[in-house]
Amino acid sequence: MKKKQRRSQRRSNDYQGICRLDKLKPGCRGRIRRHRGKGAIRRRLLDLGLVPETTVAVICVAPLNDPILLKLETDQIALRKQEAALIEIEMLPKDSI
Amino acid sequence: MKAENSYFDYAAPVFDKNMQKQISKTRPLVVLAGQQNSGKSTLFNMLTGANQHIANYPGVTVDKKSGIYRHNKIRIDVVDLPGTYSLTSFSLEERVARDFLFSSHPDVVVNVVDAANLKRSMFLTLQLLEAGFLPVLALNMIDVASRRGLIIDKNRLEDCLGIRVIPTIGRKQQGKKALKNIIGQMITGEIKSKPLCMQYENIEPLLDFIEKKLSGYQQNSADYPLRWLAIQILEGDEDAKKYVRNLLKDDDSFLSGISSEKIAFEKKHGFDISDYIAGCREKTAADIIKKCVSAPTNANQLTSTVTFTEKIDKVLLNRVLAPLFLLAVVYIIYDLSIIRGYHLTQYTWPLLASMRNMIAGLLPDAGLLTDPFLRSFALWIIDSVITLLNYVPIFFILFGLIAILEDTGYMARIAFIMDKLFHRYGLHGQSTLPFILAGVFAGGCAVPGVMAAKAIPDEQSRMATILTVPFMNCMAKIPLYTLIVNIYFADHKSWAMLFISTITIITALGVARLLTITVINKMPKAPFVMALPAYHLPTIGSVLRRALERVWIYMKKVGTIVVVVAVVIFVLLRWPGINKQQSLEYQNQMEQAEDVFYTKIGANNIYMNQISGDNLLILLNYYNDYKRALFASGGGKRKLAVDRKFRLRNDLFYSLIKPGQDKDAKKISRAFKKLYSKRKRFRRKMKEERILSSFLGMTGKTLEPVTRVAGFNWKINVALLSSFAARESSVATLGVLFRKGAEDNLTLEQRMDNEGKAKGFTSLNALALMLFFALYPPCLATSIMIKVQTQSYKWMFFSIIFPTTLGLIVAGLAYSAGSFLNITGIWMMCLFYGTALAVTFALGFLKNKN
Ligand SMILES: Nc1nc2c(ncn2[C@@H]2O[C@H](COP(=O)(O)OP(=O)(O)O)[C@@H](O)[C@H]2O)c(=O)[nH]1
Ligand SMILES: [Mg+2]
Repeated sequence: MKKKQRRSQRRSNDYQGICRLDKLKPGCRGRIRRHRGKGAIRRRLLDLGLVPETTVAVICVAPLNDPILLKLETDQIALRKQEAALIEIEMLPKDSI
Repeated sequence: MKAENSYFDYAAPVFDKNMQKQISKTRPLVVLAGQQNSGKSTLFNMLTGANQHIANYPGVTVDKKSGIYRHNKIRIDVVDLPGTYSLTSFSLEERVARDFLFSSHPDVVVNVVDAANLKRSMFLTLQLLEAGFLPVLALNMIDVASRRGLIIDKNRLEDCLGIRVIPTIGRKQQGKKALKNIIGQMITGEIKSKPLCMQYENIEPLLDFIEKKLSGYQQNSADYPLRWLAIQILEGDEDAKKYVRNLLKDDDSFLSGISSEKIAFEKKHGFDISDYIAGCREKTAADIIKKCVSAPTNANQLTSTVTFTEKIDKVLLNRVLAPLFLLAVVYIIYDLSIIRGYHLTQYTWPLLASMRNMIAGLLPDAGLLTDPFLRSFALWIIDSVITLLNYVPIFFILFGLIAILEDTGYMARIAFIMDKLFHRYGLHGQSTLPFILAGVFAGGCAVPGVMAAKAIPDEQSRMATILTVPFMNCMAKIPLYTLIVNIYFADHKSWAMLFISTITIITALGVARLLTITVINKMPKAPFVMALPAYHLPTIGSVLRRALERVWIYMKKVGTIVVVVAVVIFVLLRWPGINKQQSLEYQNQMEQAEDVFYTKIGANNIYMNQISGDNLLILLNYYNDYKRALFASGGGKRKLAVDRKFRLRNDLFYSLIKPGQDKDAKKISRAFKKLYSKRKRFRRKMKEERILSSFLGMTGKTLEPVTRVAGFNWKINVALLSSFAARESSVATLGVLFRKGAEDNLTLEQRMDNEGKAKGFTSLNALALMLFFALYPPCLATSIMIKVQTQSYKWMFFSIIFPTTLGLIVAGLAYSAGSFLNITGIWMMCLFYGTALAVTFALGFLKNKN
């Protein structure tokens, strides 16, 4: 289990690709590309500042593995993986966090 | 509950009458708007001082805080809105905030922003500008901002936005004068703002087109700014669309035309119009921040600097430490409020008891066997109110601790930690607070629990929370549990208590899941998206204020209901009452007892004159008061004071009930105490018979065949029925019904035990009773709160009938299974616990088809 995780982490570090926000590991950063959600949830996410082109980092995952805690500039935003999956991001190189 | 309560409905021509009444204002109105935790309430308190008032917004149960202050001899109304991120509606509270802004036509909107997080706040500010409000920007928390090294150019910000900006530190009351001055000048019109008009380059022609079209329809151009309306339509706001459809008399061609424009835009640019609009706002906000705020580090790098809050979160949200810390917090709440608070009531109870005795002294005196109506009625009401007041210290501590949790920002983290578990069962991370308030483990009250559920943005989860919160162990359930455990599970006390305090949350989760996949499965759901506030140190003032506010609301709401209900139960327990013949018989018996008394003391007793005739009754009541006062004094030194007081009241009587060496007095004392307990016995017997022949008693008897499946006899039925009115009365009613032996100073425990053994009431029956009591419907006060929160009688009745049925089935099953297997209560308890745990666990894996 641990090994697998480490391997996938390495892979995700090498590959600066596009993925869903819920796949981002704690400590990693990404730039929001677009929202796949519609209606109220989309507006809420936009209101909270999860706007395309902004950079987010994942601070941590809740003890039961869901929701995740994001960092957006100085804000902390919690959202379930279910909703995070609606946000498409571009992974950024992992800085010092 | 209905989503139609939106601001567009309030607009002319379909103005809501309630709102209209509310907003027919005579004084200038100032409204505080801003995001959660930006410091609105702090500034509100700063402006109004103690001069404030909490009510509800019309039709919904969101608290509306309003207050008044004087400035240059004008009285100014201030309203503190619920927190809003934007003028779009997400939660009930946000909808209310928006509705109020639009319908109240405020003279001044004070936009409270968190200076340490200005960019996020700009969203609302820009929307307020767009919607035609000319806000004053209260740049709050500049102390935090400067601590972070942010320097905000106030003048530049004023120029950029075209509105006035006032730096404030709400916590230290700084900026109060400047804010009041500017508000005053805005009201008198001395200040003219030239607000920023945001441009949306790519869609300006489209906005123009919509504005032109609508301008012909909206009669009163002041209703909604057309540009704002146009933007809302392009953003796809459902309420706005509905409003426009109404305006255009159901002509859909215009809106569908807009839809195709939107699709064309998306094809051309590769992204959605609403994304574009949000992007433009974001860019404008970023521009403003760049111009006006200088930060120590590059703002873009902020995601990679670690803040203080994050450092704390590293520990408190750590996978291993988080649950431990959470448990510790809940335990501390439990210990401080329930255990210590209960301890505190030992000091407040004598106060209440002596107050009761004082009032009792003012009422007409007690009769020999039956009391004057006024006396029994008034005492009944006072007793009900006192039981409630007795909880005030506990609630004060509980609410204070909750306020601390909220102010520090940890409450939001609890929701974050618990969301996964709750979500599994159809609840929401924010269900935690209602459950804690209602008493997860032991001690709480379902009324504030149900009230707190309104903060849950997800309608389905909110309903599931409201319906399961009454399962928690409220303060009033505990006396019955204690009683039963002490009698029937005395050997396994701590296990039984553990069972009670955890079975409730287990069943609540299971039931919540069952409800969300059945009855309420069609209700709209909302995602869990929440900004977690930075950690703050709470201030004593705000914590005290919040705790007092909540205690006051609780007392007002519960208090009125308790009084009304007490009246009803009084009637139901008293009428039609016992017949004349029966009461004559008791009178005869009492007379005989008196005769015995007089013979015993001897005809030539020197005190004969002082205690014959009416004096005997006075002496009986005197002794009764004395015993009560002794009991209320709580013993110790205060006992001496009681003695002194009663000697002062009637020296002779005192020497009779506490005779020294005086032979005649001794004789009287001995005989008198016998007479006293006989009278007490007759009164109890009459009371029991009265209950048996009362409406409630008859109902209890009628229900016996049904409740027998769970092993309840009519006495228990009556206790359960009256406990629906107020939980705490269950033990009191049982106390009356299991009266045999009370004269011999046996405790209720012993009496119930004796009678139980005679009638075959075993620990299995006791278990069934406990289970039923755990699942038993909410008390009346809670039921009414459920009606208020759900805005529907249907759900109120559901919340009563469903748990009753469930409780009877569960208690019946446990009872018959136990009887069939021929095991004792404690073994059945274990069996039941295992089964409940397994069922709930399994339910957690059930997928919701929705
Ligand atoms: N440091 C600091 N804290 C503040 C200031 N104003 C308010 N607070 C704190 O911020 C927290 C949230 O304030 P509150 O008025 O409840 O915010 P609301 O949600 O907008 O009503 C409270 O703990 C306040 O004590 C301020 O100017 N400086
Ligand atoms: Mg507030």
